[in-house]
Amino acid sequence: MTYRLIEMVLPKGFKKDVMDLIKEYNIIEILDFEMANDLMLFKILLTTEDSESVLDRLEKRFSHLTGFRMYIIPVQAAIPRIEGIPQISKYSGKSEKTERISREELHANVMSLSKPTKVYFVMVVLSSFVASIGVLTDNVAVIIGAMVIAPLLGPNMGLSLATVLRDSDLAFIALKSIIAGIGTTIVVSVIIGTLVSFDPSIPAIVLRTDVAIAGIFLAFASGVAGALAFTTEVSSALIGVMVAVALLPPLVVFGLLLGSGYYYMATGALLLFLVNLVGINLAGVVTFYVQRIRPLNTWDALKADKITYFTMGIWVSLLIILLVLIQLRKIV
Amino acid sequence: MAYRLIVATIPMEKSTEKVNELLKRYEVLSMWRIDLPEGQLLLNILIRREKTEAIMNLLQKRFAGIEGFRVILVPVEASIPIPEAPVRILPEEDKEDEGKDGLILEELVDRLGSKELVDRLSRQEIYADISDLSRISNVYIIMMVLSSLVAAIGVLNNNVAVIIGAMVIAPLFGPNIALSLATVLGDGGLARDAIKTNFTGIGTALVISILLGLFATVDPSIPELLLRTKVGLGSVTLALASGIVGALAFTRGFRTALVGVMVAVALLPPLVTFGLLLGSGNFFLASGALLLFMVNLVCINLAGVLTFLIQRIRPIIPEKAERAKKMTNIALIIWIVLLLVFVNMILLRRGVFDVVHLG
Repeated sequence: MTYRLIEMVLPKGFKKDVMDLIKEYNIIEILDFEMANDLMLFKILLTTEDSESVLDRLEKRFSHLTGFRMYIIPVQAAIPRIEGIPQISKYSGKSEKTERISREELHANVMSLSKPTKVYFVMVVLSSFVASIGVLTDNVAVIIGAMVIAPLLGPNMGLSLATVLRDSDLAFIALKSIIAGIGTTIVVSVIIGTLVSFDPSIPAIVLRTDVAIAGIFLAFASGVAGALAFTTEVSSALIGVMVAVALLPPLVVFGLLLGSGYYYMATGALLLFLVNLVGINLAGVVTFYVQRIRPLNTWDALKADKITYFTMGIWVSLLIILLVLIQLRKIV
Repeated sequence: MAYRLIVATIPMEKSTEKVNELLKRYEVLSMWRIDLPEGQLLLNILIRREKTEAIMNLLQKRFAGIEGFRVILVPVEASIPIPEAPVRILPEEDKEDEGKDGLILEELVDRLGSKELVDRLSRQEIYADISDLSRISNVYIIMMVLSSLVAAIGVLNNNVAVIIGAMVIAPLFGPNIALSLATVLGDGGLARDAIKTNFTGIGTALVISILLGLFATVDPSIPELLLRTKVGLGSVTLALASGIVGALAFTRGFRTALVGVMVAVALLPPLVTFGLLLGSGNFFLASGALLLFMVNLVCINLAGVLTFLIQRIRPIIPEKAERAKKMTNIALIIWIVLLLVFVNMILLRRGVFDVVHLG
């Protein structure tokens, strides 16, 4: 059980409204302070699972006021230990336990990982170098290092979240990061591939040019685990996901093989990369959808649902196309 | 986040000068108090995270049981100016006689547990972190199912990277550390939760891997599979060392080290290998994987209890402390006996004793 402290700034005179609203939820503690400039500060302590419904309710009711602001602070520990909160909520039946962090927190986390900043590009370039060296020297430890450095998982989760929230800004940012990241990696690895002469029978390369049906399951299962790790703050599991369904090594192998002219093997690596990419995105959208992460307004939520179904359709059909291509490639 | 903000709400009725008096002993420098209109006192203390326990203990001892008393611990990203650590903490009322009926290891622990080692996060914070990892939830079970699938695919395809991924996704380490913490704190509820979560997780992984073993073709000569059926005395040392690092990662707040521990002494791959081999009928190899899993499990638990003990994580309420001592003694005996049994079995498997018999 983890806790969050919501701090909210409001103009004076809404204390009773806040208390009335809050009464229906499972709040552990609420404090209020008068501040200068006719503002009031409320500190609300509650469990992480309950935070989204309370945030939604407060936002709906007070967001039009000038000076309104809410921010969420994680709580490391509490004394006395909070054993089972009294279930006074008449809403508790309706809003089933979500077992995840609030939409706002998730959005803030994912957004910071999706932005195509300078550091992002430097990380992509560096991890491409590391992965190339790892692949060419057949060193598994180095390849795994590159997988974890590579910041490609964040933007893909960003795209999935943007889909279920119908957030075109986030979608745009994430897409830009994904395309720019992939482009950078391919450029770096193709250049290395043309400059370095290597033997394409290195096990690390062969492993990444061979796609099987199990690869699709792997990508989907890991993608679900990754999305769950984002929504439940089990951040260490994310590293596992990055390693299990790595996007970077197949891409780097593709670039290396392309640069040195082994086109048939290169298509295998490209297919593996695309399967992983599509698998992660499909898993992300499905997981977020099942966890009922959706916009606050009912109207927006309906529209977001439509976009979500549409996107799921696109990813599933891409996956089917890839399956056909994999089979075709085996025949040819 | 090397700093913490302690936010305490204390009802006014208890004379508040006492608080000042008490905290003066700790030379807390960054402290503010706000009087609330409802007659409560709000205390904010900014401090390094390793130093929080003494103050939390003090507040808890003094005010626990008073209606409306609450302390929360909030992480602070940075602070200007840098908060000064208490230079010296005046000794508490001289050590009340702890009696000689103490722990088996009490004296050794006191000698080993120098100030350096005790520099750790507060008990409350460790508890909050760990108890969160030991709860059964839908997410936990889904994670177990997914990581078992990933591990099985990795083992069957001989793909090291995928296996490592599964090790890190698998949430098996948390419940075991929770069990160790429950032992040294004498917390029966947490212990029950942790054991339940542990069994559920292990059961889930077994069911999935046995099913996969029944249906998939398992070639027992796959190197990654064979690697996980071989167990030696090196495995015991590895598991003990990694277990200690894992427990330290929790008590010092270096969560990144945890990932390394999960990879070094992975519980899931041997378990999944055992299931796969059992499902496909390779019983002798399966017993090796099971033995490796059991050795890892026991070593992590033993290492966890020992580490927490040396770091002096213990309850402050006397009757709880009594129970904690009892639980710790029992647990230590159980884990050590089990470890000896397994070491014996390892030696038997290798035929070490056969030589003796024949000779």
